[in-house]
Amino acid sequence: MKKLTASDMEYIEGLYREMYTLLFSYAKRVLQKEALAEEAVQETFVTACQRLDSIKSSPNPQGWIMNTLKYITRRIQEARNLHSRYLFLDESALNIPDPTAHYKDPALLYDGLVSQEDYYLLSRTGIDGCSTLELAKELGISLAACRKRIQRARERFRAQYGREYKKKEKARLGVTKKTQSRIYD
Amino acid sequence: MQSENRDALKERFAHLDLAQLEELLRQDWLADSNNLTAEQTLAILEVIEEKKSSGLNEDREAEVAAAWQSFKHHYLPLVEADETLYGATIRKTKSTKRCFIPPRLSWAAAIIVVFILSTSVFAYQVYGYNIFENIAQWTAEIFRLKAPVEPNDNLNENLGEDLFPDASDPRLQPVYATMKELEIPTTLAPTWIPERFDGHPIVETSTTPFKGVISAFIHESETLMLSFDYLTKADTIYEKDDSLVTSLRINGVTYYFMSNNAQNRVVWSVDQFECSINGTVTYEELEQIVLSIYERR
Repeated sequence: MKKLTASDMEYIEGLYREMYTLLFSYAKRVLQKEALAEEAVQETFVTACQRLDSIKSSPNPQGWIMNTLKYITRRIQEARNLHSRYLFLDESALNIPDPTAHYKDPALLYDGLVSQEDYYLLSRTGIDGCSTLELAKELGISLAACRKRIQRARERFRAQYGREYKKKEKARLGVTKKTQSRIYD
Repeated sequence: MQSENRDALKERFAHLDLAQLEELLRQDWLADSNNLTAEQTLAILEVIEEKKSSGLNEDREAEVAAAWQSFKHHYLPLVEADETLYGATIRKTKSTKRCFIPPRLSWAAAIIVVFILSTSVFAYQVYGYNIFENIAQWTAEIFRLKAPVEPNDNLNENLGEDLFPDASDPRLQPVYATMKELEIPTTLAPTWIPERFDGHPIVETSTTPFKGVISAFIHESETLMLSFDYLTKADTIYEKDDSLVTSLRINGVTYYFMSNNAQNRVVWSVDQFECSINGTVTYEELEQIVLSIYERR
């Protein structure tokens, strides 16, 4: 990607300062967590920087930003849902008395297949609603490194529980309405 | 940089109270951001901020400055590495409530496509006795009605008073009045909506690319939207989830019912008009709303 020039940064900063309060208030409403809301706005401007040509050529840059934020808030919520679903694929089988509680030894719950760190990363993001930046600060690592660790934890979990997860997902989505056609003529 | 359009939108939304505005935002998000455009969303947010008018400007400026510093320090490296936190590959056009596809097929070709689709892997079905009345196509994600005839631009000359009966339900009066202004027969509109939608609706008209009326009733956490448009040569596409589409046929008109996550919708077309009702209502309520269209006759 091409490096941002000083004038690019000035343009982005102008939009950022103009729109931050509104964007943050929107994200906070839908995501219910301040840290996640802030991250949604930051991610929106990361995307804006990466697609600078698109936003500059847009007749309505503010609308472009707003639509991007809406999309990103959905992505964040989907990621949270995914992480919490991974952790509680089958709470009845695992006999978890309180799904929201943290467990000192999650390996016991998941037959030794899940490391303490993976469990920690997925539960902090999925259940506690931690932003990546919050987690990075907790772990004392960079944002990019934290993002990679979460991604790897997710992939490992998916690989280990993939089959069971797919089965559960199918059952979850399988509840569909039956086709019906009635006539009032 | 605020558009002129935003001011007009703000003026309209300013009539709603905070709870209603918050609810509009919430419903929009639940419906995959399909209810409100970006401009409408920004207008609502601005109205909310003005109504609340809490916090000192200096505090806000400090918050924004701190967030900008955090952006530069923590997030800008992602830009340079061409990465995103949530793998956001932004779809070029996030579809709004409706999107328009230029007609590329002639009517005859469209019929052929229907038969091809019916044998393909697409979840495609057609109900109704007269396939030439309209053609409905859908997949797991979208639904569309294809207009089988050229819109009749001269229909207005044939419109008579009998197409504009008054509404007995005061809640529907603003909808009927606006439809009448645009010469859309009010006989297309229901005479009943669930009791809980007891406030006055927000009624909006559009002239391009669709000429039509859209009205929204809001009650606490629920919304109901009625939309009546003139058909154009373009198709209207509605987003849906992977639930099956069901149909109901009344007096030769086929009503298609579908869901889109938290909301249900019914779509139908009559003559040169395409109509849609959606919201946080059950299929049973939608059916009752549809049946009420015929209760005046």
